[in-house]
Amino acid sequence: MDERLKYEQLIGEKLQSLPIPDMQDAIWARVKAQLDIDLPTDDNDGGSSPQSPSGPGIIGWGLSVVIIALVTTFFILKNKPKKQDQKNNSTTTEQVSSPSVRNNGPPLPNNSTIKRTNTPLSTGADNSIPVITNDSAMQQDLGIAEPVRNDSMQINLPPPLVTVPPPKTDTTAQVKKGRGMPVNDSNYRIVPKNKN
Amino acid sequence: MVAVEANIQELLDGSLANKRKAQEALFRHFYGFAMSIALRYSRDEMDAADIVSHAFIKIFKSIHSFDSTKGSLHAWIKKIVVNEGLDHIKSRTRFSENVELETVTEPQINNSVIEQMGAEEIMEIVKKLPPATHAVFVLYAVEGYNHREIAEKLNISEGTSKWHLSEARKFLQQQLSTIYN
Repeated sequence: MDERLKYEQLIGEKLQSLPIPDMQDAIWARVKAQLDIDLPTDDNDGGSSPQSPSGPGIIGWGLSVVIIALVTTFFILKNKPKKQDQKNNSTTTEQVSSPSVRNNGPPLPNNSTIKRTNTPLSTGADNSIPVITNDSAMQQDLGIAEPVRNDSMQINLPPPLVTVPPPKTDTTAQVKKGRGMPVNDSNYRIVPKNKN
Repeated sequence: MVAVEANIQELLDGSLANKRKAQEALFRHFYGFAMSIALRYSRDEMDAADIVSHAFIKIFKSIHSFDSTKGSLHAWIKKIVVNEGLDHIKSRTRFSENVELETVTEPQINNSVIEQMGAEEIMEIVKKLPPATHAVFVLYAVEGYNHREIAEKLNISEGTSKWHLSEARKFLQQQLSTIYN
């Protein structure tokens, strides 16, 4: 029983020469994948294949940063003209408001704004005169001959309670010629109806 | 020959240093050898691929334990692949301990019939054996282990190993006589 029979030796020899299936690459891929988990390596000579997570990760992060930078730059450039417009508006208001205040009240320092002036108007109006804190509204209320860009502002303006004398044009102030519909004094003048 | 051994030593060193290129080259060098062993313990190529992949993972994970003074790299790899093949068979079946065999009448098989058959034809018949009997027959007839060694490997008694071999011989005789009569 412990002796190998002749035919068993023949079978043994035959089974040594079984044709080998060509599965090398597939099996190595499995072995390598398992080794990458169990025995991670730092070598770049085959250890970090293109499939390894570190390579695409760095490229992916780099791409993300570039894309975010491009999008941010685009929005900054896109919003820049609007900011410049706003800046122009504010400077215009400042330029216009200062002389008008000078016309209706005591002289103010150069840096003063309309908001700071609580001096009553020269018409002798009582406390019912609304205190205007909005620069643009003030500009409209004072009857400044400054073209108004926003048409809706004209519609929403409250009727003036007092007749404001026409402003003296200050030749020193450089008022920027604006666009849109011009507003003149007749728009704000209250003309009593003649019953006769 | 010396150049090949030097190359294998280089691959061994690289594999010890966990270099993928060296590990891949070592795998490809021993792939045919390992696959030929795995095929004897498997039912099909996919089973054999499982055995080979698991065996090489073990090889690379325990390559530091290989001692060239105790044996060749071929023998070490063969041992790991055979053990993996046996584990594969064990996962499919239980080795019965209730069978013992001390004496057996040897079946008569015509050697010329075996000589005329191709390796694949023979393997097809061997695959038809029950898994445990298959394992004992391959270990005994192909790998050259004796019953004591087989008993140790499979954690069974020598009598059980002999019984499985006897069953394999009877089955093969029956199959071969069916084919050629």
